[in-house]
Amino acid sequence: MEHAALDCAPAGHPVELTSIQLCIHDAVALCEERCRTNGVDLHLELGDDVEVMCVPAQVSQVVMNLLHNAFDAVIALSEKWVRVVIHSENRIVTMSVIDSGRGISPEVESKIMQPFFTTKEVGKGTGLGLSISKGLIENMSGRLFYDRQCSNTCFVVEFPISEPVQRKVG
Amino acid sequence: MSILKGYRALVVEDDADLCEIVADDLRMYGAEVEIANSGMRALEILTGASFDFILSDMRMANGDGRFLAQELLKLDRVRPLLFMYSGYNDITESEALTLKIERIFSKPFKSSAMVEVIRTFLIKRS
Repeated sequence: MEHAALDCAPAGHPVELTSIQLCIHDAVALCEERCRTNGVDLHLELGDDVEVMCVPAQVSQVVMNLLHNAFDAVIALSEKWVRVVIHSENRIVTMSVIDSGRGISPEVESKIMQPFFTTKEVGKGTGLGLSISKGLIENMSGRLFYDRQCSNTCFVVEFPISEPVQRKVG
Repeated sequence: MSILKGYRALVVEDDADLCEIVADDLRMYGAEVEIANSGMRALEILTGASFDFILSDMRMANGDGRFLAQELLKLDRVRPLLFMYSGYNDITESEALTLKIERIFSKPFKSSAMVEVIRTFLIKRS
């Protein structure tokens, strides 16, 4: 495998307070032209900036992995779209990457977070991998999971929203 | 869309998703593309194949962009044109000139604009 070794989790990589929307924009910018050229409608519903404690480059890397998977999943469908939606509630921010696929089977779902598991055709499954993405997000105190309630295919990244810094008075 | 048709490219990137995306983008513009996940791996590939240009990430494990550029200077045959991209200010203009890096693109980049620049250099070289 060409990409068995990854640079995604270098020791001591700084966690910082960052807008999650900014991380998404960086990943989207690298993917949007490809989507447009191939007739995939990439739609963003990002709302106002929400800051979380994270490693921005790693969040961007995970978003790119999810967008890449979504692109590969819809490219052969007649209906091709990918949505990235941010939702904040109860000090939790969720970023959902939803595509026009009809979800994944329970059998695949049980394996999809395992290392090296892929449903992609030979030669197309060398990406970051959901298991590594999940590990990266969990190392930043977040969660990555498949949302089986969604009628389409939806992966969710969830982070606690960082408390605003309180200034001491007096 | 086939403005890179007839050109051979080597994409060097250790982020597997970005590597596939960049490689697919270049293929979309007609280039024939091979990929490497590090500067070291790129050098191995270069011993047995020739390319018109290399498009490489700057920050990588196992041989970063600077290492790759330095090693390319030692090649005793026509070197591929070398392009890099980075999300950081990793290298000064004068160092890039010394290392014969034709252009450093800022990440995130638009592949269409990047391909236009690469094509201009390729035409100029031929």
